[in-house]
Amino acid sequence: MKRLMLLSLVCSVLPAQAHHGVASLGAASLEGPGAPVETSSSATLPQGKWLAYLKVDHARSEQGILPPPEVENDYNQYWMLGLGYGFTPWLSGYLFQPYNIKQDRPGGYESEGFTDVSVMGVVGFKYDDGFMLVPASESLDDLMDWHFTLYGGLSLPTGDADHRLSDGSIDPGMSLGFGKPSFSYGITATRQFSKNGTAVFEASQIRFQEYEYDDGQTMTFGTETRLNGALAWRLMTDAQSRFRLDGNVELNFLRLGRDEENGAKAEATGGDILYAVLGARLYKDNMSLGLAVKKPIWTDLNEEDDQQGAEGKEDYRLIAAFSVLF
Amino acid sequence: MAASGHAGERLIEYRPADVKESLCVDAAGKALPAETGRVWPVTLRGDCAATWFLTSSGYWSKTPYGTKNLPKTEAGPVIDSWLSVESVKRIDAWEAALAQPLTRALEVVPLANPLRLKAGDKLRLKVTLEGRPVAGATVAYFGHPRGVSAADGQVNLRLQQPGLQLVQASLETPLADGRADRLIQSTALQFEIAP
Repeated sequence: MKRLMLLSLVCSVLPAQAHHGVASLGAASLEGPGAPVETSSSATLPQGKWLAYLKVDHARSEQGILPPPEVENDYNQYWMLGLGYGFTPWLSGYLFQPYNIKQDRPGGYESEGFTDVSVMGVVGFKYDDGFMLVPASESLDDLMDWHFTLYGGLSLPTGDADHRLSDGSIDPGMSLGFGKPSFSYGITATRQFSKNGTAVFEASQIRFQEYEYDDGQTMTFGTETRLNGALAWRLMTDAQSRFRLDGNVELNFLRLGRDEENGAKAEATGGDILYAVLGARLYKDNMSLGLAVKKPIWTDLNEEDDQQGAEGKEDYRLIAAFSVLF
Repeated sequence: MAASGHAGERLIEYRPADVKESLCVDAAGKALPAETGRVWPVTLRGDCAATWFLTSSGYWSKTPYGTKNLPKTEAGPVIDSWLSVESVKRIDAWEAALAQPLTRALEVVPLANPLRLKAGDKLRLKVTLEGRPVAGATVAYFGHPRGVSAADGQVNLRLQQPGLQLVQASLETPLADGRADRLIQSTALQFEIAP
């Protein structure tokens, strides 16, 4: 074939003489997949990088469902301090230390303190003409492939499961630990389906073991099963200041198994709850702040009228999650 | 051949002397004798499956009084300086030999026949320098950065439109010749897919 090539092609080359090279693409977080606030996305940590994480979940209970409340502003507050590390591009490890404030009993009891430390491992993989572990380097187009994570972890009984309330009693629901390890595992799937939109799905379970408290009672908390779906939408990006703002909508389904008290199924425990979550996530440099309001929009609780202060009975939850990668 | 009639095409005048090297490669990946023109626009006449040009507009120095096309040793007070080297490769027919670098310059190499792809398909590439994979090159699609080459030089892009395709790569390295601080190498790969 005869080809006549004009050198004007060169004008399509990045005009190196006109600027100082192409800006580094360290801005993947500015254009890559979004991340919801409650639903876990399928991102793994870059190899050799640390992630510090702080989350607070303020759950405000419905008023008027309890006998005349002697405690105003009944609420539970769950703080979570986390530290993550990327061992490889596809394997991340996390350590979490929760701190709980529970103040939802009509008697005015409250408990506050550090609870069980938990550890978790996350394996990331993706589909790109076949399943593969997440590679060290991905382009923005690679990041638009389906990504997945499998995770598993356990809590360690470092908290005071036998925490006594002011009247000397032990209420397992107010304890600062489960007494024995609990086990969690789950799977996530994430797909950035357009320049701005990312869909995230998560299924997970937490299983608990029976624990005998100091006062002789035993308790096995019901298994928690979660099915989450979320849509993150990039609302604005300012590459110069390395700022990004996403809006998030989520549906979180939670099935709580019935607790077992002293070997018997406990009344007024467990049930199904569907939460709606509306939130936003801000990115600035290597930091991220997620803010969300979570509200139960449908419940099917066991003996619903008798349940007090449990999941599904919140008026709303306010969630803030801050993380920094270093 | 750039004058393909695509929307947005424009010609930029340059000094023919800026063209330092050219190459015409046949379907077997063998360099063919080809005649390189000496006037603007520079042309390469031959039976080429792939064509390649290397240009350099020389040394550039940023000064308080503007950017000058001079090495820093001749530009007075200098804030920044660089040597610009650019190349472009166009593929019009595919043979396996084209899955290897043709030159020792910065080059974008398709790992498989890109001409068979269609819009929405992923283009798998390797960026090479001195014939070896190079990490850290920023790779762009029609000027929009999409990724950075990995340790094995590889990077993947998704073709977003039919017709003419333009993939660009840029790599910046320190320069120790005393005439500029940095070497900025840019390269482009062009090919066309079915409209």
